[in-house]
Amino acid sequence: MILSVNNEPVQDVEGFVALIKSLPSHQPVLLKALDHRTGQGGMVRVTIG
Amino acid sequence: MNTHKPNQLRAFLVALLAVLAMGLTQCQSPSDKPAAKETPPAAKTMTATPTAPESPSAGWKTAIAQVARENIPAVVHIDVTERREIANPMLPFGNDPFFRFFFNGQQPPQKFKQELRGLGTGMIIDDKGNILTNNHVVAGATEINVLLADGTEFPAKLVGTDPKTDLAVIHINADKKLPTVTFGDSDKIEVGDWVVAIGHPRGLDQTVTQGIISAKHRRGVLDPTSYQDYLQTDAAINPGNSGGPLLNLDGQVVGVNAAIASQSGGFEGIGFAIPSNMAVHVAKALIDHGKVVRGWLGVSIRDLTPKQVKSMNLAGNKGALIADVVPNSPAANAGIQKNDLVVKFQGEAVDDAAALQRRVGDTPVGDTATLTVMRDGKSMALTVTIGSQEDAMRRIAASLEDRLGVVVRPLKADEVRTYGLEAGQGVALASVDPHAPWGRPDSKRMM
Repeated sequence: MILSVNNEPVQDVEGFVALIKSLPSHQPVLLKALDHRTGQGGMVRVTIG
Repeated sequence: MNTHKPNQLRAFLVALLAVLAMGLTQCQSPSDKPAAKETPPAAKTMTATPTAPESPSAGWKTAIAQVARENIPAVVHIDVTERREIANPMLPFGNDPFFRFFFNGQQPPQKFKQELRGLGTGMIIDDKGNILTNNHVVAGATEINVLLADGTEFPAKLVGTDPKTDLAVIHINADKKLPTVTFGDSDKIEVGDWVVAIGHPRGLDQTVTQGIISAKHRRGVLDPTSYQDYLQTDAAINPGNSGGPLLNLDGQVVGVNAAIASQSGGFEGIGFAIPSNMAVHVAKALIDHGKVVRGWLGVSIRDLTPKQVKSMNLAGNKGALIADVVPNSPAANAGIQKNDLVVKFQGEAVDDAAALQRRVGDTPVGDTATLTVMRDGKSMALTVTIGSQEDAMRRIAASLEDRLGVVVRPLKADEVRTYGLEAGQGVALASVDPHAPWGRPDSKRMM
């Protein structure tokens, strides 16, 4: 589960897509994520394609 | 002849004082004798009782009793069971020797099974056994049971849910004629009109409360991405009332009780109901198609800020400001541009962004609509063919899959509860392509 992108809260699919669209390609972004198997939260660095 | 003059004058003065005294009584303590002041307009039509009311207050008292008597049979108690698995909250410490000691050196269980029970209210809306309630009453349910006012009980099946409006329809197979509610026009109800709520607060069956419409068009109460246009009422609504009817004094449903604003968790005089016009539209779609198909324009919209009102030299803050236009969307094809201010939709004034969102959502896919927009101080009419929100989401999801190799979906209600999140927070990754950018092991690390 993704809760924020670069500290911008994600509210829904439309909002997530809008956030991703606004980011430049090949740049790292920081996601606040929650592992559904463990319920454990953390930050994940990924690269936008 | 002259002797009559003082008498006439005295009589006139007495009458004048009496009139003034009556006026002062009404102005000084309107709340002390509400019924003595004025019978609510709707109550005047409730004249089914054979005898005339003995006092002015009897009219609306009788009306409330009559509304309750006529509608209680169609209001049902909904029992919900939800069986689910939850993540073991101790799992982050699973490898700690201290915790392993308590599990004889073995790994603690990954998940626990849990059974949750909930209750709510619903209303029978047709003789086929369809029952309208709130989405949050039945979302995630593995078992739904309905108890009618006459004590008979039926298992129910989910017909469809619409989280965007917090509405759902369930169905029972009853081998008898069912009592039903009737719907009124929620657009016509006014602030100050008397209303009656019926429900099962905290399991107390068929509880009737009364109040007035305190406000209309309340938004921002719950998830900001949902469709909200609540009626606010001071009729007591408590946990368990959700999904029950809010009725006018003609006995017609004008709202579906859905939420309260409360510091304590109990009722504090601020309750919210989904307007009946929205509820009827959604219920019909759920019964006919199992889902709600909403119109789509392809724009991001915002309310006007005071600063924008000043900089755009506008007379007021009414309208929906276009913040962005999706390429190749219905809006783009109609010539709508960023920073256009939509002031009318199909000739009707657009008060704010939520109003435009609601109007577009309610418009059938494929219909054409005329938008009046203000651009550079000039008014212009643009015709747009309304698209499908569902198709748009599919296209958006496809573009995301192409770019990142992931498929995202909204969070389910049980996920929100399980992980202690709030409604309108987060998305879930439905799948990740291991060869795509987000699937490669070197592209991510926990921090």
